[in-house]
Amino acid sequence: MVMGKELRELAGSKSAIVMGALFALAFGSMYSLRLNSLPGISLESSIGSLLFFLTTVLGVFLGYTYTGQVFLREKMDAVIETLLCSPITLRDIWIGKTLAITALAHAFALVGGVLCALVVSFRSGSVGVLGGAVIVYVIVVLPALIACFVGALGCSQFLLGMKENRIVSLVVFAPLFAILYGVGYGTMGSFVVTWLQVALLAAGVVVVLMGLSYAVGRIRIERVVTTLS
Amino acid sequence: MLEVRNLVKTFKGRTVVNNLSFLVGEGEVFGFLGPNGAGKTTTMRLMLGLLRPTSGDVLLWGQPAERHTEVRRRVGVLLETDGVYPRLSAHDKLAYFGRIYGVQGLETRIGQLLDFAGLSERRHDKVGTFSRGMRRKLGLVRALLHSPDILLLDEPSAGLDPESQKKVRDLIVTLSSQSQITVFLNSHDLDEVQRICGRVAIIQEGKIRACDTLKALLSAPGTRMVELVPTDVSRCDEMVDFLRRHEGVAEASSDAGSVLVTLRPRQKTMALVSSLEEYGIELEEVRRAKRSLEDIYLEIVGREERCG
Repeated sequence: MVMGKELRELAGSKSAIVMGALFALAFGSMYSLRLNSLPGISLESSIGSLLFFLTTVLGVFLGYTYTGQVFLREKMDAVIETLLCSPITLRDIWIGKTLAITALAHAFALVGGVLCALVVSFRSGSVGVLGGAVIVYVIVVLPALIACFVGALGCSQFLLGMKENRIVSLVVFAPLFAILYGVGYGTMGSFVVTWLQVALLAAGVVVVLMGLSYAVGRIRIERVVTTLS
Repeated sequence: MLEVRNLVKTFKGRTVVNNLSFLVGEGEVFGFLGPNGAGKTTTMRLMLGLLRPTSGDVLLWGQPAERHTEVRRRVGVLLETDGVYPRLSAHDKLAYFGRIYGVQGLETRIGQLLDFAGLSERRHDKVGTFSRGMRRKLGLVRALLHSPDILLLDEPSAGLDPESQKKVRDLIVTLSSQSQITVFLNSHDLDEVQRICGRVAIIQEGKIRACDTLKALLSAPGTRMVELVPTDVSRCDEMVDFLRRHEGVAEASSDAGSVLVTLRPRQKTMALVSSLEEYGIELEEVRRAKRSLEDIYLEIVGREERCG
């Protein structure tokens, strides 16, 4: 229920869609240009790392952006208070919102990834072949990773006041995103995605998601209500 | 049905709700009054389980209200800041809440309530384009959507035009009398409370200052008020000046050709009339003024403020 409503709202928001499309295009272009400018890197060996980093950066960045619209705005407008009087729990709300943001951010990450791969293939004149580990990562693990990031941010937005949320966004999440972007941009081409890495990432995000779900269940409603703007 | 027992809420050492106890029966319309910062909204939040009491209990049908899903399913809520999803249409917003509450025959119910609220023509418009009054109406419709057994309303008429205010008042009375729905009404509108509430509690600084049936409150011995009509209505202002200097008068004010006088205890009406006649003002009529809830409220709140 919550997920459906949040998806409808996000999909109905011109700013959310335009932002998703623009960033898919911007990040896709930057990464594809970077890849094409790397000397001595074959398309086959690097298209995997390109998709790995591009979709991750794009997904996480859009997740970060949409979280403000979905979690924080509801708290700023105090709408969440009405929702918390209904028969659903804070965890239901958290799960629904996290899934909705993840679905849209992941969709745009895929669009960006596909566009970028097409551009790279077109410019190099050959089609790169993706390894199984990359495909599994992009289709299965990436949404869980985005959900992890969005869920953690959403959890902090439930817990903290408006001023604290801005500080956390700037001090914790923005640098985290910058590091992710920088590492991806710097190591692209020399990085090979393996099954072990994907499995470790998958295990990590599952553990974090379980931890977050437990933590959200422990949040006192009073904490959410008393930190409304 | 709704029982509040020795409820206390403290924020950082400051007691906002101080040992409140009251009972609201089935089908009753209960008015909750108090000045800004008296603790009304905090009490409502405690009743809804949004805040945890420092001590004391809120029981709904004998069960703690806090985080009890089945209890919340039977409660309709309209808060001061009602949930508005600006990008959803009125219909979609109601459908969302309807699904959360598991409303049967949702489309029919939405249609009926939107008709009642006069919002049918705007059902597919985004809520963000609605006026404050329309949002308030939509909030009330949302609160009624799942046919609750108890309605907790925070300023339901705020921002509504007089016609809509009357509609809301009539609806509350109908819900209470015909459907036996209990209504807890948090309001600043004393006239509204006087028109529809059977019982009233007045809260100030977190404490209940008065809690009784409206009839009992209005007929309680307290400050007496009389209305004096001078033969020469042009002397009303002069009369007010004279009365304000009189030791037996607490307050005097001119009101469309008459003077409303609040007497101090032990001041006899006829003695005051004699004083006026000695002063040279003849009276055409003297009548006991009917006390309104506003008089009672101001008397109680004013008295406490003076004492505090």
